[in-house]
Amino acid sequence: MKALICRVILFFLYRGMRVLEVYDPVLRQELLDLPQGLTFGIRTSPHPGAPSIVLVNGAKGLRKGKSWEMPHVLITFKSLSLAVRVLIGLDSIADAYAQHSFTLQGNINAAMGFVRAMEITEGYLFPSFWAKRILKRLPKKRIPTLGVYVFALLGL
Amino acid sequence: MLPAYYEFQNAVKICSGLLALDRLSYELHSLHAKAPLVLSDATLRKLGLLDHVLSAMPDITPACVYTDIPADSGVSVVDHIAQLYRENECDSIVAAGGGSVLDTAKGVALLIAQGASHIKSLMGCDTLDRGHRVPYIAIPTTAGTGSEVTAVAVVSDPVHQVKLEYISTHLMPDVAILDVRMTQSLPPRITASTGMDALCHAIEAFSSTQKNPLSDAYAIASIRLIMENLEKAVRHPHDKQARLAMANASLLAGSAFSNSMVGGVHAIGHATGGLCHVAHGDAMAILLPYVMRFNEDCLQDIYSELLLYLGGPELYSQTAPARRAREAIHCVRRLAKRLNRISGLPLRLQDTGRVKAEDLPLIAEAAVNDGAMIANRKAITQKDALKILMHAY
Repeated sequence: MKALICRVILFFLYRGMRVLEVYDPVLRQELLDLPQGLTFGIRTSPHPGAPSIVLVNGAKGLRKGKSWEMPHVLITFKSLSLAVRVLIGLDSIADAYAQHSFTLQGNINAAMGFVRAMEITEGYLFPSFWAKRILKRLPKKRIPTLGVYVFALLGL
Repeated sequence: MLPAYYEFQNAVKICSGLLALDRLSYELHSLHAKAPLVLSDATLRKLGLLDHVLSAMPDITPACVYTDIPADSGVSVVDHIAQLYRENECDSIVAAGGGSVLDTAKGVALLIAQGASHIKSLMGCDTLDRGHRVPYIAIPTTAGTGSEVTAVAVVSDPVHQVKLEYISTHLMPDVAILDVRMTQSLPPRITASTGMDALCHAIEAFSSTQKNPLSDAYAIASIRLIMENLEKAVRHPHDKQARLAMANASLLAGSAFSNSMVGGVHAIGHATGGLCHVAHGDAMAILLPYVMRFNEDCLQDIYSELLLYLGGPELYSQTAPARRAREAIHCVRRLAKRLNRISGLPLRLQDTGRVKAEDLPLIAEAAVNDGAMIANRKAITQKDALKILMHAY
């Protein structure tokens, strides 16, 4: 069940980021500021077969990378339960960092832009009262939450 | 309030006080170290401090002595020394110096433990296992970085003009030796600068997102020692009590931030150091009150509590609760100003002679990408960082 939750939320996180790359100038700028070709991975647990995603900051925007390639920056949660807490918005990424819930392989500096982009996306995907609990600052919404979900589902 | 979850580790054996350095040989034997690599820098060699270290291990011959570590040691230096370690068949490390020397030693130990050749290949946070054991004894000669007990190493990447952070509990030395003979020759100006660095570690550890009851206890103990002894150590360099107190304060603050992380001051300070080569302690001393002022609305309760340790019980009780946070910031400012009068500690970025107004946007851009920013309780955007820098300029 936890693995399924992670897969579903990782799907919306990736698709949501792609939607917001078009609609949210702050998120777009965050990605533009990152080196082109930089890859960023999230593994929900260190065990083989755990839900994971690799994002590529490509020339034509954010794309999904090949899951078997080692990304430049990789966040690996220490257990699936800890990943679920972050993905459903019980903990922020900063909380998870504070609680040593994940390891980070690669350059921490390079990860910061991706982390901010993820936080902006969380600000859209979660209802405001929920997002307020975990985010230091809420993004100024340029598109309604429902719109992000609809566009994400349609893959627009 | 207790955090939902926290971790705390300090496995370092601490030898502090009278003739502490004379125990070096015993400690090396107890770690089964027979051929240490001794690391230091050229200034300490000239001052004769390296001789103190070598004479404290009369029955052990170092396999290699290296003293060319620069002030902001870089990745190539670490890689080169690891090669020397292997070529000279060393089995342990003894490092005597400031933050740069101790962090370089950590980088070398990490490379040897992991069987790697390039420190940049090991970048990350909490990713590495213990690997091959490399006994490491740290002897700080400044009282500020706390590197002798931290799980953090900062190494410069001169090509990209950034400071790389390595975070792993396996970076901690086995033994830390605090001996006043090693810090007595520190000039007043550097004593002030490194002491403010320690204060910054303690304040940021006490207010970061990872604060916990143990790191709080270490941070409070450190702040008390600093407020009682930093000025004394700057005014009277040969005051052994003050020197030992500052060495302990630095160690306590190091252990505090190693377990609760630092925040915005360090993020902006790392960027300032990386781009403009401002000494780390100077950057901390300058930026600390400005970042505290920025954080004040978000950290009212925490800064109010800090007033008790920064200003003492009398000032705390005389100050209205609503004014305590601001007064805590004033205490830091007043301390910096007094140190400025005694030793010339810079109070503004332009006083360092290394930062130009046109550098500020670049520093702000680099600062928001520093890993320490994530532990700052209040979000600091690039715009915010630029404002802080302009105030501090």
